[in-house]
Amino acid sequence: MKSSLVGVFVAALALFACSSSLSGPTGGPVAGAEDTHCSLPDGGTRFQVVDLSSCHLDADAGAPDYGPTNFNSEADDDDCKYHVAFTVTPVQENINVSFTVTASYLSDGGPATGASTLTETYLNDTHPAPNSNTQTTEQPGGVYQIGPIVFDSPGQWTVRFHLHEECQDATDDSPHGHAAFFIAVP
Amino acid sequence: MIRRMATPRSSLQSPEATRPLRSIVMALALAMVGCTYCEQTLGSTACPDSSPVADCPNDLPSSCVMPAPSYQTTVSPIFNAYCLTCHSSGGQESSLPLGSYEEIYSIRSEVLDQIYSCRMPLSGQPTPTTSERQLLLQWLVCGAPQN
Repeated sequence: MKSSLVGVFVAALALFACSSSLSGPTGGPVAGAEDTHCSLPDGGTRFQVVDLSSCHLDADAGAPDYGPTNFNSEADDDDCKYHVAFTVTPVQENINVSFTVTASYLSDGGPATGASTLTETYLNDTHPAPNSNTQTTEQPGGVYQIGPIVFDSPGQWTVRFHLHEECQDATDDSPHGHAAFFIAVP
Repeated sequence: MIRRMATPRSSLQSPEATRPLRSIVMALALAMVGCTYCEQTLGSTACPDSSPVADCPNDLPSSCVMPAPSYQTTVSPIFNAYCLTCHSSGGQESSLPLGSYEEIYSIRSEVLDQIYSCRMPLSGQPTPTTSERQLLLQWLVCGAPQN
């Protein structure tokens, strides 16, 4: 009996040591108004069908047309092509953070697979996140694991997920999509 | 046929004596599995090693140092040398032209992100030297002034 108690005590100590590197408050998605920019007054959804063959059309796209940055952890992409939802590991300054992004087509709800999802992360126009060799790993079902990402300063950051970044955003049905979210870093 | 190694008598211990040690070893093993699990599921945030890996240099100037590099005499020639092959009329990225100050300024945030993260220029293309890269980053961190 005594030996079991010793074991439990040691396990508790070891687990404490394991998790003690993450102390203090953690941040994450900023709570706020739900995104409704693709919603219709009748309760339906406005959506843009994507055509994968429109990826490399040589047309003038002009400067990227980004929508407002979103609150919470899910929203429709700026052009109503995709629904983007994510989870994120605990956020603190100067630690590795990993995002798990789930993307689906807004037109039919199907998983957006093969979307080469990337992140653009910045505190403001002149302060991007430091380079941390961020990698994207695609999992089944339109799920993308993206990390590590490092926030090197406290504040309200923006993380913009780009889908099909390799495609020109030249036509309305281009697969290129993007949705940005606020991330609080304590 | 399985042969059992003879155990030296000096290392023999009674079951009563080894039980606490086994419990501790088991507990530590479980805790280590827990560590590995949290690393796999939470990235490395919950475990000790959280240092980022970096292939692309973390050389972003921490602040704007005035005077900012001149767009006219310093920055524009660098854009012309490394970007306009693709980012101009007839180029592969003609939809995102970078031939004029206004064009660069309108997407300065993306330009900073792409250059700093080494996504641009694409691999295989000529890239700015270290000093040219520094001049570009310095100018962009200063807000891309039209100087």
